[in-house]
Amino acid sequence: MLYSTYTQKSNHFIFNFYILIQFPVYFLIFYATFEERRMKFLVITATVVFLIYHFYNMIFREGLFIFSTPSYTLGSVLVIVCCLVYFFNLLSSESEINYFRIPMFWIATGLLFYFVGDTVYMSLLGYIVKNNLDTEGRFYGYIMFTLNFLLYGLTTFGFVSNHVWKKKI
Amino acid sequence: MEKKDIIFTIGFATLVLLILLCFLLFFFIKYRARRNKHIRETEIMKKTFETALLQSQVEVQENTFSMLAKELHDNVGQLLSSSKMLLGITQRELGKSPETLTIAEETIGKAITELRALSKSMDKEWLEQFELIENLSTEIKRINSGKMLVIVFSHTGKLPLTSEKQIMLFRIIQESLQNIIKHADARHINIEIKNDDENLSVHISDDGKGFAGISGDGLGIRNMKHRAKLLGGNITWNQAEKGSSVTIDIPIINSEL
Repeated sequence: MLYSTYTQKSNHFIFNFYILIQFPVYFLIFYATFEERRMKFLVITATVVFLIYHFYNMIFREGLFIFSTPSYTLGSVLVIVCCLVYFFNLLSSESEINYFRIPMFWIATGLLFYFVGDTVYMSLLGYIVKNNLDTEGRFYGYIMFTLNFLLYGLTTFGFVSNHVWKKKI
Repeated sequence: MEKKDIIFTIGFATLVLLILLCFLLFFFIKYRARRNKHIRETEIMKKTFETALLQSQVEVQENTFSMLAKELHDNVGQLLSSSKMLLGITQRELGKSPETLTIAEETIGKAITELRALSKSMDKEWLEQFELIENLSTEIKRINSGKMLVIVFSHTGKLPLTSEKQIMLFRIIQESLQNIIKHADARHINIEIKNDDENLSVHISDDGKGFAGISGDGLGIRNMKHRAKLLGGNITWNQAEKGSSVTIDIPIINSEL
C-alpha cells in the first residue's frame, strides 16, 4: 500500500515475492509434522511443483509485476491437500488423540479455513479486477478479516490450549 | 448479471465452502472421539487380560510350589525321618556307636529341619497365615544358618499390603536372594524395606561380583518383572562398584486393606 501510494506503481511484485516465501514455509511446517517418508516426499514434491510453476509464471507468463493468481491458487490447493492428508493421518492414527495437546491440529484447521475461503476469490481475482467488480477491495477486506481471524485465532488457541492443558495435568 | 450479484455469488460460494468445511470438521471430531473411546476400551481390555494372564501364571506357579512343598514334606521328609529313626535304632543296638554314625544322624536331623523350613516357605497356605516380615525373617534365618553368607534385614514394621501382594513381594525377594546365592558369590546381603503413606520400597544389595556373565532375560528375572508389574510397581537392577542391588517400588493403595 505504502509502496503504491508513494511511487504510484503496482505493488504486485511484492506479493509475488511474498508467496514465494509464504507457501514454502507452510510446506516446511507440514514436512516437519509428517513422520512417514511417503508424506515427507509428497510435501517436497508439492514445494518443488509450486516453485517451478511460480517461477514459470513470474518469468515467462505473467511477469514479475502482475500478481500471479494461478501460482497462488496452486499454492492454496497444495496447502489444502497437505491439511487433508494431515487430517486423514490423524483420523487413522491408532493412538488416542487429544486435540488440546496438538497445536498442529489447530494450525491445520486454521490453514484449511483460510485457504478454502480464500481460493474462490483468489482464483477469480483476474476476472474480478478485469470487470472492476470489487472496486475498493471492500468485499475482499471482509473476507480477509474473517479468514485471518480464523487462521490466527485457531493457531493461537492451539498453542494456548496446549499450555493450559499441560498446566492442568 | 449485475456486478453486485456476481460478488454476492462469490461471497455465497465462499460461505457455502466454509460451512461445508465446518461440517467436515464436525464429523471428523465426532468420528475421532468414537475412535478414541474404542482405543481406550481396547486398552483397558488388553490391560485386564494381561493382568489376568499374569495372575493366572503366578497362581499356577504358587500351586506348583505348594504341591512341591507338600511332596517335600510328606515324601522326602518322611524318608529322612525314617532314616534318622533307623540310625537311632542302630545306635542303640550297637551300644557305643561310631562317631560317623552320630554325625550322620545329626546331618540327617539338620536336613529334616532345612527341608521343613524350605517346604514351609514354598507352601502358599502356610504363607497366607503369616506376614512377609515374619516369613522373610524365617527365610533369612534359614539362609544365615548355613553360614555361607550374612543377611542383614531392616524394616519399618507391618506392611500395608494385602496377604496376596505380600506373597508376590516375598517371591520377588526370594528369587533375588536365590540369584545372589547362585551367581553373585557374595558374603553380605542387605535387605531394607521402607514405606510411607504412598510407596513401599524394597532394596536388596550385595557385595558380590555383580551381573557379569548373567543373562538379563532369564525365567527368574522375567518372573520378578511380572510380579512387580502385577503389584503395579517396578523393579530396577543396579550395578555398584562392588556388588549389585535390586530396588522394588510399589505404590500403596489404602482402599485394598
